[in-house]
Amino acid sequence: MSTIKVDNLQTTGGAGLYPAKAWLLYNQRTPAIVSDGNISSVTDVSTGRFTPSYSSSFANANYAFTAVSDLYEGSFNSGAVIGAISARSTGSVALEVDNVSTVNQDRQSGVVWHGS
Amino acid sequence: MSTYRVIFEDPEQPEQPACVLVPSDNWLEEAKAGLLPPISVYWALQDDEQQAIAEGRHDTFKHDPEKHAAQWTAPRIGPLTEEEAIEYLIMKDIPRHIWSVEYNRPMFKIVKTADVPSDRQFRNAWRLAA
Repeated sequence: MSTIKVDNLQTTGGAGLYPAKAWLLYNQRTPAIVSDGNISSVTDVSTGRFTPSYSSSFANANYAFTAVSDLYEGSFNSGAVIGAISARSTGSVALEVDNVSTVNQDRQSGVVWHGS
Repeated sequence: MSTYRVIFEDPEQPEQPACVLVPSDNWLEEAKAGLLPPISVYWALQDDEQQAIAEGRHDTFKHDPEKHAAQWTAPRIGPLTEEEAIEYLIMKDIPRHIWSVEYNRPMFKIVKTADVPSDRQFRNAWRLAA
């Protein structure tokens, strides 16, 4: 296996490319990390609440992430909202999964991070 | 899958159930392969960020480029056993006041993965025994 190391990625036209800094698929019911990249651990805090920690920290806390929770899992068949419940830090972020009635729920969630 | 989990309680959040730290298998492989920097690299980053938070400038805070790059450039510490890697992870990902301060009862415990209840009601009822 070989490794490519670069500081910047660009298209041939010079437009910037911004690959994901980290990603996570986490099953909070078990709890277990199903798969990940640049994640050192996930802390199961309480129902619907978990805190992923990054293997390599971000340079600043102004990064972005997108997250979704599985719609159909066990007895759940309703939508869910997932978001940060406190300020991001460069090494971790506290997340919470709520159903449409804003009740915390343990689900399988996917999260992708972008930033520097 | 990792053999271990870490159960811990935060003395600053006495009403909160015990937390379960789940290690990443990918990260454990890196630890066993000897690819981790000294833990002091992460502590230096955490200290700088905590200082920025205390001074109310976290919104504009940015890590010192040299300290940030040390995550990749610092000399590697060499291969760790799984047990050593879990101890390293405790010092990296669990808040420092939980494991660096002596309390009148244990605030964290390393347990076998199979011992962690998969039922949330049991997990929420967990407390670390004295």
